[in-house]
Amino acid sequence: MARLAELAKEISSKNAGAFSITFDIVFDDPETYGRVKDAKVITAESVAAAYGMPVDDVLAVIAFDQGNAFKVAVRRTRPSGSVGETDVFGAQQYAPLLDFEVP
Amino acid sequence: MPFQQAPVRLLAATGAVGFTPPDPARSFDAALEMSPDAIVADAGSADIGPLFLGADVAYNDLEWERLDLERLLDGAQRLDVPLVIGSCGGTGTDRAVDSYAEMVAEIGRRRGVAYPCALIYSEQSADWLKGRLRDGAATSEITPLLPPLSAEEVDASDHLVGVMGAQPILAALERGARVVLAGRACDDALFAATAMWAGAKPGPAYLAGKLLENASLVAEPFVLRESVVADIEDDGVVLEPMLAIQRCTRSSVAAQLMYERGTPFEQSGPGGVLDLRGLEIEELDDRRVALRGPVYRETAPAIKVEGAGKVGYRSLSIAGCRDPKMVAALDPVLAEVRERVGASGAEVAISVFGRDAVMGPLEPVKVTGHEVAVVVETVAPTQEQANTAALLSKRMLFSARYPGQKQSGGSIASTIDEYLEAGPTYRWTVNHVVDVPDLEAPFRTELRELGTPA
Repeated sequence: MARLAELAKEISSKNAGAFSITFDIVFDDPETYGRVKDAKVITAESVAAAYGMPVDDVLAVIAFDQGNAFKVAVRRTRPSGSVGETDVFGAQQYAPLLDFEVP
Repeated sequence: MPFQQAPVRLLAATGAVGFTPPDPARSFDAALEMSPDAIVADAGSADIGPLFLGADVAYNDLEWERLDLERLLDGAQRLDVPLVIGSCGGTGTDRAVDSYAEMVAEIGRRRGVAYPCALIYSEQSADWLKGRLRDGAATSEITPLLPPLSAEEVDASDHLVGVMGAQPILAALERGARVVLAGRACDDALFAATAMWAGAKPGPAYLAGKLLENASLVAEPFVLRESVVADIEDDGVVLEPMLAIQRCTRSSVAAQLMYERGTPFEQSGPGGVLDLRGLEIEELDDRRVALRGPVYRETAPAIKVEGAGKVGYRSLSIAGCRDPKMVAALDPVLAEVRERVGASGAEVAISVFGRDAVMGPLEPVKVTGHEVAVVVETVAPTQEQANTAALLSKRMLFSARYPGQKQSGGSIASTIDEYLEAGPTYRWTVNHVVDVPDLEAPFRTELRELGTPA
């Protein structure tokens, strides 16, 4: 077992527009990317469970083969810049992904 | 595969004009040595929240913006190539375009140069948008993540901007402008328009736009605001970062293709969609990457419109908690604050840094630090009411009682201010795609000479 944080080159989060956040998980090589893809580690269900959100709030899970990368889009809990905002850019929302376990 | 024509070479100088003070002469000078056909810079239109649009205030330090404009203008002048800058000021409001125009004029006067400029304004009137609404041009099918646009939300907007695509920028360059200052624009459109003006085909031009919109973020390691040069060819784009420590790789360009978008495979914009399903990525050497196979399809004309409206005035209080018993008892204490302050007529939001402020309800880690910061934000119809509500919150925290309490000097640690007045606050009122009959008509272009010849 390895943690996603050990295998991925980059794990980022950022807003895509004011109403959704996307997570980008990029690998250095097709073998490691393929390992994670084949093990079905990153799915709407696994993301929803990690974040405690309804699975319908996971808008997309995309495998970008040419880039050895995954993209996950989720609904923001409230529009960016709302009162009480603590992460306007959505740049610090990826921490739960770091601990995903990869066989 | 041999190219059919000479490549178009673009210099992407930065994805965030004025965001930080410019570092002296780093990659930009190396990039100028590559003899680009044009210089393009995006003024950091990343989603910065509704405040700057609603209040129409500057997002960056004006002196940093001026220094950036100066080096960009000097570079363009030296090479005698066009300079295109978009989403001036971050929000792209009319005031922000004029602010950049004033800076360009002042630089021109000092240099003894008159720059032939195009100013492209993107603000829209409520009447125009309500007219589009009546024509059925802003349905929820077009923007599914949001409730449908309503006339009430349009009227609640303090500022509205249309996000322009390549069309008005291309038109300005074709009319002879050598410096284009665009209001709110799609980041990629600045580069795509310039590339097409220089002869590139739409597919590679829009691909270049997507890759270059954040300049050095397309390369690794992560560095902001450094230059990248792109050669736009018949069937794709070749990228090279100009900062010596950076290199483009498959993963760095993949990350940029995904950046701030819902999918890497399709990029929709005004008038068309860029299809990247057939994209091929090749690392040419240790720092250059070629991307081939973009397909551009025209679609029915539509633009995104952004609007922000005032919701009231905001105030903040910040309190530190260090007593383990107080930290453990925070939830009932904060519940009481919310109830009492809410009853006074203010909206209140409380974040606990050191526990779950950054991720809020999404935070899976249920561990609290030995100290936390409680940040209370209050919003009310007047600044005085917001201030009073923040002060009340602070006083309630100071006098909070909790199980196991041993102190009588105050339940929180205070900074100098009892509250910090934060001024007017805004929300997104419009963030919808709107069908339009014409992709240039919503934007007003003025051609002007800025500066004075020597």
